[in-house]
Amino acid sequence: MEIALQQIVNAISLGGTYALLALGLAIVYNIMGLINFAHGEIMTLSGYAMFFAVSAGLPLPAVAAAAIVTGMVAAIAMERIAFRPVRGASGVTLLLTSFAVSAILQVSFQNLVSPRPRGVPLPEVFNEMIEVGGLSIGVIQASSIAIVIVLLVLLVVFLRRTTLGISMRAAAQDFTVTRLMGIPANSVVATAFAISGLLAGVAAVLWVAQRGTVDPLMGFTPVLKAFIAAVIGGLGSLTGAAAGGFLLGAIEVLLQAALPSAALPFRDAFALLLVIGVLLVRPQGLLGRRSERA
Amino acid sequence: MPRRRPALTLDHPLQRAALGTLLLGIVLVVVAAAAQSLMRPAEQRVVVNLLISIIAVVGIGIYSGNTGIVSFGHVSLMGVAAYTTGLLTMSPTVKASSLPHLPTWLASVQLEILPAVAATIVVTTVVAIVLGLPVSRLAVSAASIGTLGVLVIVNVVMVGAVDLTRGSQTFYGVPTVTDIPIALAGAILAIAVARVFRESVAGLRLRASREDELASRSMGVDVENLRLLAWVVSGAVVGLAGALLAHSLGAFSPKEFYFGLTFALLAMLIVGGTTTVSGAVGGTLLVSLLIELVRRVENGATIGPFQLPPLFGLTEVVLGLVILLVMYRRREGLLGRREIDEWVMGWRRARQVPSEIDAPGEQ
Repeated sequence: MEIALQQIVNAISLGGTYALLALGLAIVYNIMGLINFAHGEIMTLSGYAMFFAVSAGLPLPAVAAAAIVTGMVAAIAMERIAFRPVRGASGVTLLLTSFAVSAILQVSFQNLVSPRPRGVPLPEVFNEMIEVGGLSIGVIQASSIAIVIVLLVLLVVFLRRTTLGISMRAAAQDFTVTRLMGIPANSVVATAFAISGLLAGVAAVLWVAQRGTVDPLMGFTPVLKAFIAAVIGGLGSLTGAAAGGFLLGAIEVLLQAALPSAALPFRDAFALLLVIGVLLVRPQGLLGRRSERA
Repeated sequence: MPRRRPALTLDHPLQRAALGTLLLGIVLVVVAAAAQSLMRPAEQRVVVNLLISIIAVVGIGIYSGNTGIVSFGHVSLMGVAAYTTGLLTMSPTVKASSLPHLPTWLASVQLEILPAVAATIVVTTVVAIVLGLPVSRLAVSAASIGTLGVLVIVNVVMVGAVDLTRGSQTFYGVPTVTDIPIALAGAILAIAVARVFRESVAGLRLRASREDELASRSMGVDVENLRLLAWVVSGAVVGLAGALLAHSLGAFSPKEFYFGLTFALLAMLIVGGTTTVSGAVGGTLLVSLLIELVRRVENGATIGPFQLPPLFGLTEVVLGLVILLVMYRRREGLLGRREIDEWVMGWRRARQVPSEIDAPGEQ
């Protein structure tokens, strides 16, 4: 029983990170039709911001703030520099553009910082355990679950209560009509990228806090997983993307616990096969609607 | 007075496919013959690589070009083919030492190259059918991500199946028999298959669905199954590329068939233009030349009195910038949306997919 609860905590904390990344991908996709391959590089940049902030001896809140601000600035800059020239182009054009941006950034990190992992020593607090109802939970896991919940609530409030949030939801449904209603396209797109950068920054903080290092390919694997998560949940639906993230986290933790050790090297393959099985039944994703967007 | 019919027309799809294959074939034969007679054996490897890349890029183009879905998954089929042909052709003595846990029937088998490559293409085709079933049911954007999933799954399996592949360690002892004539024959075969598929009814319907999926569906085009067909045909061609690559390298590991190769091959496809076979071939020629030049600089070239320092990863940066340039300036690729025979004949089909008449910009 206790082990089961422990695993559930693991699943929620891993899934939460995937959910943040998947949400960032889905927000941009809904507004622009762009599958942002370079999302992982935003996360990596935030990781490096943490590395430099820690090296400069800043306190923990400042380190986290540095990561988040870097993520937002990087995302907005990426949109201005790389994606504005192809705005409104086909999904394929957008995808390939982001693919190229991702490769260029990865090599830049390797050359400008270091191809090897850099240690990011964070305070000891993170390694401690806290007791919650007879269950010992790592501080990192507890705080990451809390942070994810708070962020999701804030995001929902933003999207439902503020003018900008409502116009973003409108833009996700029909960008042209939204512009005809007097909503400036640039501010909607920039906000979408800012939010996705913020979520990537937070995800970077949680990721680095658990692993203690940052390297040029840091963002790559989690964002790959987040893509998959977003597709399971339904790329066109924000709720779906978040749910997909949690589901993928749960599947991974479950497989880690349930697979015999001989099959463990294949864990990711099994997880992805399950995903493909889901898609065979529901190609539009679990919570997605059938849409005409190609 | 009845007008005389010109001797050479492109009215029939097979005529177009044949002329297109012939023209591209001539270009490749000239390149290959020049390399064979002028270059030293060590340098000829570059041309062998080029020809194998052409097979692979043309193969990916059969799927991506006709359906409009970018595929990241094809390189994994190359990997499947490379390991399959390796296992079939390696001598039993080498297997006994490097792969001691093989099943007995596989440990003792050793085929000649031709039957081995044929068997490999069959195996790759079967794998492609299995992987293609779910991918072909996804919408365009989700399908791209699905192919990404395919790439990761196959890589994980290649690394994990230690008994068959030695895991992430180098897999060695594959006979190195791919030379320029063999690779050339493969490339021309690939081009012929791609052209015939493109001009076929299935190809025409797929291209219609690429331009407007809803409209083509309403005309009764069975988009899912045609996408599956394109995926399987392209999988077989890419399998040929993987097998020839294995017999060119002799030793390889799963990381050879992952994002690095995917990125290079996609750049080749995009630069030339995804929608045509001529674009795939032209793009591969151009980008391969560019990669070769960049490699010299990457390792620290000397220009006049200046010694440049080695620049790690310059190839990726240049490939990335080339893709960006094409995406910003000429999305349909440098060779546009017309095949080489259409350029050469200066001729336009009377009955074409309407949207191809004016080569409109993407939506």
